[in-house]
Amino acid sequence: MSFLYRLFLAFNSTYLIIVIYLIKENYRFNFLDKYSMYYSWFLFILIPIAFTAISFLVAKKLPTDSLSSSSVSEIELANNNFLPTYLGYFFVSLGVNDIPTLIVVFTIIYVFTFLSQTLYFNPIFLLFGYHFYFIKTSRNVKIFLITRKLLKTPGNDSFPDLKRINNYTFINLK
Amino acid sequence: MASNYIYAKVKRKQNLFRVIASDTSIYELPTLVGIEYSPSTLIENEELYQLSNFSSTTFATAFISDNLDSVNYDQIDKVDLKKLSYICTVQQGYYFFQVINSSLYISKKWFSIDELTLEVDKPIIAINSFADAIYDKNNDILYFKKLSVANRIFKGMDQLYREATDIETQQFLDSEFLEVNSGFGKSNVSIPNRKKIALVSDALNRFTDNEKQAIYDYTSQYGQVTYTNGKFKIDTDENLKFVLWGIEQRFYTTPISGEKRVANSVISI
Repeated sequence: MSFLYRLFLAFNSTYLIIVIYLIKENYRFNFLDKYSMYYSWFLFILIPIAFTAISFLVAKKLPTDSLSSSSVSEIELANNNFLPTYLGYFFVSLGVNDIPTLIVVFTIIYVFTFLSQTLYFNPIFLLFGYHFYFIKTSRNVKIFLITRKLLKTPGNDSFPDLKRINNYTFINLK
Repeated sequence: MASNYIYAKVKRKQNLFRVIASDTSIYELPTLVGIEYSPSTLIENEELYQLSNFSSTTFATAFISDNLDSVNYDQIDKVDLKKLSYICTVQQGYYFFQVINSSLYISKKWFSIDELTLEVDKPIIAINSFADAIYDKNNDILYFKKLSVANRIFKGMDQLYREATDIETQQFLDSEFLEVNSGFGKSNVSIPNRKKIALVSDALNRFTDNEKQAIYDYTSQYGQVTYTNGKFKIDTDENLKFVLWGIEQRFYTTPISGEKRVANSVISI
């Protein structure tokens, strides 16, 4: 179940490539043919947002973990780390000219995002008020934490109810 | 909020793994009363040994002494679950250790009473109601029943109660206060006696000559072994046992009835 979930999360974080391509090529939904293309584009963008919302619901079923405040030895904000990656994705999808190329490019990026495992940067998480942090624990283990809390000083916040996405990535849903 | 975690140690892997988090308490919190471990103390069935200030001993692992956060531990995978050496349940500041033997893997066919479907090839691991060792994190005390079992969790603990090596045994047999029969060599020394030799060798070295003489006199008073010209005559393993008991000062006379006795188990008071 956690394997499927990781596939789903990796899909969410790379899906914007397809959205950008569809918009660039002026695609629109058949049933919105009579309306302005902006309606279709709005729906295109809404899809990954809806998927991300679903991913939060599924996350409740993930294995639980805890981290006490005294074990946090370093906090590093990682919100902006995804920007270079995402700019890369955008340029790629703007440069792709046909659907077969898009499928190949998307598959490659998707597979590597999934296999890299350490990060599931999905900027849509920011829309839901989540922030990304690298946290170093007192045992010198570096983890990637997704939480709504604003963290600055180590030792202020404890996380009794984290959900494990993989061995490096944890999400705090509350 | 899950408060109870099960961790597992996999054979030939250094770090422990996270197995399960659960809200359900796995063990009933015990009232622990232990007797400080000493090789010369025997415990009853319902009693426990204890080691105080355990985290400062050399046997304590980082798992015991550091803050415990499950995020530091990788989730165990299925292959590793078949190669467990022990599991540890952490519940409200108590660490319950259970050594995993092949008998705890149940690979029979089974069905749950709630859900009547036959389960095949779904082996389960049973958790005993009594842990093999319990570590009380708040008071820093380790409780255990058998040193040999605790040693499988905390490597090196058997040093607390080890057997004398061949060399140490031979050195002891060569001591100036023993006259060993030529037919009795180090290979004839039984394991219990080897353990006692390991214990008393240190003590014996600390005694002054006067104290040593007092020990010999005291042992000879109880008359179990022939004592002539300052030497005990050792013909059998049994003779050796009595001398070792003497060095450990296990012989005593009841103060009122005057009966001569040997103490099988002792506790310092």
